[in-house]
Amino acid sequence: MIGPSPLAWPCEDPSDGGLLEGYADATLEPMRSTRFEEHLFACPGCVAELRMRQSTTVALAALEARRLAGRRWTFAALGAAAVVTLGALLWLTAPGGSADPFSLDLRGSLRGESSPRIAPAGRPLVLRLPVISPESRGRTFEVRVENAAGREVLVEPALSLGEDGSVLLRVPSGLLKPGGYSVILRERDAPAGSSAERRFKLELR
Amino acid sequence: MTAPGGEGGRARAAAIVACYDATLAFFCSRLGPREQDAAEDLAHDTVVAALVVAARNGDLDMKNPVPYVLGIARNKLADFLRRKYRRRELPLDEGVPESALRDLADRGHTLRMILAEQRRRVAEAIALLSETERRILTMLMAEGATVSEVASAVGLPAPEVSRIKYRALEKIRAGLGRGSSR
Repeated sequence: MIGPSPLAWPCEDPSDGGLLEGYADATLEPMRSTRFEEHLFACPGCVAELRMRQSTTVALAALEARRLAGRRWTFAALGAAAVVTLGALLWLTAPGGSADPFSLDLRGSLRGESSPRIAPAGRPLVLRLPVISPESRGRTFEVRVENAAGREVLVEPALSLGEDGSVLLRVPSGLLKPGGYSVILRERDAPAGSSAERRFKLELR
Repeated sequence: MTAPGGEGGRARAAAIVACYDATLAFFCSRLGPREQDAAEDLAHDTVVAALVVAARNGDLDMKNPVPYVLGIARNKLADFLRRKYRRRELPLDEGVPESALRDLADRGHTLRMILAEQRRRVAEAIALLSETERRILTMLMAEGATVSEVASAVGLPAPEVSRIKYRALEKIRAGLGRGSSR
């Protein structure tokens, strides 16, 4: 308990004149507001009532802020869900919808053509192809991609050798449909079917 | 620091410190719910400034310190509103009784605890209000709408809105318990 014993409220002091309501709502004219403030400093009952109303205002404002924040989060969550759904739909429906390229290293398949390397259909591909021999440095390479029927679907006539001793072939998304392919790497000017040519099997699923 | 004026000085200082509650209510009312911390600082600064005046002018009649405190509070409020968010340090004057500053700090601390407890209980009482009561009180007290604005927003006559507000405040008062809230 702070200060003298409280008075009952509504204030019994006639100098209040029922001003507290207007003062708390900030609707009093300046003269009446001044009069009430002079009364306030002498009236613990009005101080306590004002304090209760201020606590109520603070609590209501906090509740309202939480409610609005909750609504904002709900809208944000709904918005995020809509964006994700739309993105997923585009990815599923558009040919090559995902822009994230799939990298496949074919250096491990040098030893034979028995088992094809698997890559996802509908995504851009980056194929890393091993060079034929160490003497090939500085030379230019041609890469062809043939489908299962032996039909040429992609030709890159002049690719250079990378620092890591391999040639990178970039295949745009949507160019290759699901199925089996042969990727043929050879030095330019080397005769077709010569020992300077390598074949790799690729399967898009 | 010294305590001038002996018993008389201490009594004057105690009377000034006793104005803290009303000073805080004054600043809270004038500044609104978003400036409660500033209201506490200003109330404290006001009472200290009144103590400084009392210490400087030992011959002032401080039997009724209200006019001094209220005058200083109004100046501080005007100053705050002019320089919003640019606080000025209040230089403490030699001669303010140390015990008065200690009493003021105690009073501020106690009142802060009482207010925190009161706000918790008010929040509980608000939770028991009907949706209409809560909505009307929020519009009137937290959003600053007038009774007629609320009346047209909720589709009720203005006197009914006033009655609902009165009833809701009565419920909150009852929830607090008159004895412990004052």
